[in-house]
Amino acid sequence: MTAAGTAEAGLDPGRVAKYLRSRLDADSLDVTSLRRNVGGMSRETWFAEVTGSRGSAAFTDSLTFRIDHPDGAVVPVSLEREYQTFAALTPTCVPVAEALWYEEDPAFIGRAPFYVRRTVPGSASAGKLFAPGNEDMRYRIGIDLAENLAAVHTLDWERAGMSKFLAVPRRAEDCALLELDHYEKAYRRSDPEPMPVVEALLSWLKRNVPRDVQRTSLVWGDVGVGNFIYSGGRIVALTDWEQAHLGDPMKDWASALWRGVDSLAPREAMFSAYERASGLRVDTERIRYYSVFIDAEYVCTSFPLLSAYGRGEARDVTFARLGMGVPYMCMDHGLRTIGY
Amino acid sequence: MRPSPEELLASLRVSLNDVILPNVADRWARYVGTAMDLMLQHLQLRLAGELDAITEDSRDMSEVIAAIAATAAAAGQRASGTERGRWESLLDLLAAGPAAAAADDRLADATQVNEALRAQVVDLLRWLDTNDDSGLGPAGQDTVRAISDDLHRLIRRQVDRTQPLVKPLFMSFGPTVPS
Repeated sequence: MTAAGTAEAGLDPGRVAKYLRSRLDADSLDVTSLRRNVGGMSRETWFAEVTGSRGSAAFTDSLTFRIDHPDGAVVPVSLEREYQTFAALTPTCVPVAEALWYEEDPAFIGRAPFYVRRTVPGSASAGKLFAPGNEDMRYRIGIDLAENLAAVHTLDWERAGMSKFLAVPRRAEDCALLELDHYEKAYRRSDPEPMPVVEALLSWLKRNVPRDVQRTSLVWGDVGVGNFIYSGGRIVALTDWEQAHLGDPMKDWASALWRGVDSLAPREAMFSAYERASGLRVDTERIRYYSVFIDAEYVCTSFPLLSAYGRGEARDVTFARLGMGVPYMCMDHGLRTIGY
Repeated sequence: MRPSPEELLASLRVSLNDVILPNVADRWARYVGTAMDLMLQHLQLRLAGELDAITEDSRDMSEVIAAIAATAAAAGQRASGTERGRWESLLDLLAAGPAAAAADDRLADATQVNEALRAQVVDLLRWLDTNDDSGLGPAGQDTVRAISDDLHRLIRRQVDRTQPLVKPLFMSFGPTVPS
C-alpha cells in the first residue's frame, strides 16, 4: 500500500511570507505564526499572523488560507465556488470573513488553488461557550444565531450575484432534488461497496421530496456550534460555507438541530426569534425531511473517502476515521428518522 | 504465534496513549494521534467480531431474498398480464443474483459473498423504486408494501450489526454539554 498523492503536505512559512510580501505590497513581512486549524475536515484551513512594514508604517494582519487537501477536497464542491460565496457575502448584511483573493498559481507557496480571507477576531470554541457560568451568553448567542439565519434566508441572493455560480431551483422540488443529485453523483462516482441503507435513504428522499417551498433562499448548508465566530457575547461571523446552495431555508434548521444548536437556547425561543426576524414560518415536518437529507449528504461526502483503500491507496488515518465515523452514524440516524 | 494480534493492538494503544501522545504539543498532531487510537479500538472490535457479523448478515440476507422470491412467485401465479410481467421481472432479477451464502471461515471470502448479497439487496430496492404499487391490484399493492417493509427491516438489522464495530469512530457534530 502506498501513500496517496505526492503533493507536499503543510505550508512553508518562508514561502508564505515571501508570497504575502509581494501580494500585500509590503516592504518587509514576517509570518509570526502559521498553524493548521483542528476540526473542519472538508479542506485545510491555515491561520497566518503577519507583521510587516509599508514605507514607514508598520502593520499587522491575521489571514486565513483555505486550500484543498493534497488528495482533494472532502466536499464535492470546488474551492472557487466557496471563495465566490464568501466574496458575494462580504458586502452584505450576512457576517462573514472578508474574502481577499483567489490564487491559482502553485508556484508561490507550492500548492494551489487556495484563497485568502481576513481572519475574524473571536472564538469558534464550543468548550468556552459551554463553560460553567456562560449560560446567559449561550442563550444570547442562540438567539443571535437564529437571527443570523433569518438574515441568510431573507438575503436577496440574486442581487448579491449568487445566481452566477449557484444552481437556481426552477421548481419547488428542485430545492431538494438539485442538491440530492449533486451529492448522489459524488457518492456513485466513488464506486462504493454496496450499501442497501444508503439506497434506502436516497430512495426515501426522492419519494418524499417537498413539492412546495416558502421561499427559495440562500442556504448556509452547515449550521452548528463551531461554524460561527463569536466575540463579546455576539456572533461576528458565519463560517463553513462550502455546502451553501439555493433552496429551502428549513434545511438549515435541520442542519442546526442535527448539530445540537438547541443546547444554546431552547428551540422554541430560537424559532420565535427566527420567525420574527425573517417572516418565515418554522416547519417541523419539513425539518424532519431535511434531517434525513443531512444524513444522506454527510454519507455522500464522507463515505467516498473509503473507496481509495480498495485501490491500494492510503491516506492520513483522519480520513479513514471520517469516512467511517460520520457515515455509519448518519445511516443509523437517517434510518430511524424514516421509521426503521 | 504469540503475542496475538489482539495483544499487539493493545500494546500499540498503550505506547500511543502513555508514551507518544503526552509528549505531542502540536494540536493537529494530537488530533491525528487520537484518531489513530480510535482506529486501533475499531480494529480490536473488528478482529473479535467481524467474521461472525458478516456471516450472520449474509445468512439474514439470503433468507430474506429467498422469502421475497417465494412471495414474487406466488404473486406472479395469482396475477395476469402486465402485473404478472412485473413479478416475473423481479424473479429474473433474483435468479441473476449470487447463490445462497456459503459457509466460509475466511474473512476475505465471507466479505466477497456478503458484498454480492448486499448488491442484490440494492437491486431489489431499485426494483421497488421503478415498480411502485401503481397499476397493481389491491393484493399486488399489499405484496409490494410487504416486500419493501421486509427489506427495510433487514436493513435495520444490518445497521444494528455494524454499529458496535464502528461506534468508537463516531464523530459528534454537536457541542459537548457538561452534565
